[in-house]
Amino acid sequence: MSESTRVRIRRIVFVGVILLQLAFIVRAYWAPHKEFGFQMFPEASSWQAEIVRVTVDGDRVPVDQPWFGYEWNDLVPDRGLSSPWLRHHADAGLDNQIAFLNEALAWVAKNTPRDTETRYFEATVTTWFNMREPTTAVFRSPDRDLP
Amino acid sequence: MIERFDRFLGQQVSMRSLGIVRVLVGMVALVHLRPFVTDALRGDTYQDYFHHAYTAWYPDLPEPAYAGLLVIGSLAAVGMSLGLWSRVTTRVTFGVVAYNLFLSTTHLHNNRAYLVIVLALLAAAPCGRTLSVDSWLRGRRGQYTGDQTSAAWPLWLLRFECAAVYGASGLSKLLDPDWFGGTVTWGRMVAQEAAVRSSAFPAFVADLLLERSFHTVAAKLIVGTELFIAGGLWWRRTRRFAVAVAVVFHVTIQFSAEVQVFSLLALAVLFVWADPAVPWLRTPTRRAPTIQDDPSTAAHART
Repeated sequence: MSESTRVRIRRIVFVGVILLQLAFIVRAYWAPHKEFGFQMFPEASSWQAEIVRVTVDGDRVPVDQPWFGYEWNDLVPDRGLSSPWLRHHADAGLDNQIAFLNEALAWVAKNTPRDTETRYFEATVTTWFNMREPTTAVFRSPDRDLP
Repeated sequence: MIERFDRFLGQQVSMRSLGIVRVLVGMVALVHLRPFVTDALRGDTYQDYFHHAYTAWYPDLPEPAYAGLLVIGSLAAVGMSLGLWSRVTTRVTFGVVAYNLFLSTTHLHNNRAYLVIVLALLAAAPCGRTLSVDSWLRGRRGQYTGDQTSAAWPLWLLRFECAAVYGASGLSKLLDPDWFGGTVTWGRMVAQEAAVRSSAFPAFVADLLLERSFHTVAAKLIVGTELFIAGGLWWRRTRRFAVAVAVVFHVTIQFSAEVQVFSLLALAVLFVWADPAVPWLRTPTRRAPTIQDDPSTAAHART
């Protein structure tokens, strides 16, 4: 590789890394997971969720009860999502926590093959944004394919 | 203009500061990988519970291969820290830590993202030229060990990233009225009131920490501290004070929050500012040694 090519590549890499880092910092203001955005301890918000399995018969069974050998806390132990029926601090902000909860609902729906009765999972989520009055929203997993 | 910029990036500088960072960050990477390795060797990996891939095409390894990769990464981190086959071990450590981070959104934390960035920049620099088993072995074999310099650009990028972490964090708090006004820190204290009251703090300190008006001031001090570190590191006059403030800041965080390896990593990376490796940043009373300063090294250089 010629010296001039190496110098040009070095210049592009240097400027590119700086621009990319700045782009990640700006993107973190709206991206739920805030990758490389370095927003530390962003909120004092908290959340709590009542999660149920909605069966093919229309029954709504809370996931704090084991089902078909599965337990919510074994399936979802990370990112502050265990025991969601208790009120938790949203460590990386509510957007981040809700994004993880939605992803977790979808993952559990897809990765519980022994469960032959649940149509979908539904979470009724109460959030307290920085100690303000609570608000409630409902999220649900995609429908499961049942035999 | 561009020529000056290219000369600035290519200027030969001492790799001593990056050598210190390499030694410390290798150990940090080992601490970071340890829980993953321990769990994986027990057959417990991210694949057994909720995880969420960034992209569908990102390769998942079979569990034994994943465990093996983490062991290789840990061994590489030891080699990196020792400076043994530095180029290879630093790159392998970076590769394993980055692969593991990008496996799942659930793996991502600020400290891990910072670790990947630091490892990437260390992998791009010949940071094993000093403070390493490699350089010691070269010396023992009678080979030339005097060239401990390299192009400045990785050092400057690491300095930029170091300052960017404080700057991004401070700016996000400055722009958030709840943070800057003290609501966030007060909210966290109120949520942990029982822990604060049962801590070793005297009662009047606990009362102060739970007082709303205290946080109106404290939040601004925190934001100011982060922004001062981000800016103060760049100027020679303020650098030593900024480094000292950063050390106190991280020690405080370590004892008051769960931040995984963030404190260790951030303290390690501060060493990129400690060595006046770039000529115009040297303090007037101190001069980095050159080959000509050391007759024995100069003799090696001539041979």
